[in-house]
Amino acid sequence: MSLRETLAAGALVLGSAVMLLAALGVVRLPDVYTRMSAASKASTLGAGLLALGAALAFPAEPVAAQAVALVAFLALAAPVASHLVGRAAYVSGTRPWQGTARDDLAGRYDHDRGTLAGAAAGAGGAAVEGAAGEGAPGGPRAAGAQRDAPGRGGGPRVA
Amino acid sequence: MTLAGIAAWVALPMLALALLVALGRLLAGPSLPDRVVALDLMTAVGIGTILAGAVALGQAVMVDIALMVALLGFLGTAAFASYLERRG
Repeated sequence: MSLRETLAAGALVLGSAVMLLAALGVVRLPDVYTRMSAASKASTLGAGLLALGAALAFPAEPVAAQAVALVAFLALAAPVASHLVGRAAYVSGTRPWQGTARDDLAGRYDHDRGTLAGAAAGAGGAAVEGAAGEGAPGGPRAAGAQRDAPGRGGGPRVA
Repeated sequence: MTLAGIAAWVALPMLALALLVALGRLLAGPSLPDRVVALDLMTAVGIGTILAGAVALGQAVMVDIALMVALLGFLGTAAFASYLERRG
């Protein structure tokens, strides 16, 4: 009944509670984007806590290194996966919920041609890329949508 | 049984319930992105179930399996996203 055992037990129960809450969020929240927000928290925080619990529960074996690798991979991959699915949902025409406060691409993204209206008005694609570099709101998504214009999206530049 | 083992046996039913609730969204989801998000969540809950099972059964090898499932789950989600985008 050491401190390590107690911490492992707490991390295991807390991690599974986070996962249960995320599953409830995926069922209860109104649209794809809010559901994705709940689901990506489950895969980082919930799985991270469970990996911490497993690392604390096995002291003598090199489980801790594997758990650290697992948490690092999840922390890198979960935001990328969420971004990919969110961009695919927006490009394929899924509308946000009615109560969404702001949608920076509303009226600017042409779903038929897969291009941004604002990108052509400026100095080509460089203006959009520059705005994304300055951290303007919606900049990364605007740049991502604009990149679809010449050909297929989802290339290696996404990562 | 150790305290962590008991906690793992408490965590496993919660994870099973989370898996069932996410399965409900997978079956009901109105659009295809909803189903992809539900499947992504089910992969994450599956990773958690493997980790809790490793503690419950005292098998440290199962952490390796969780790592492999995490790698394959990310590939699956990326492939689904690429399919959604090309389908238009």
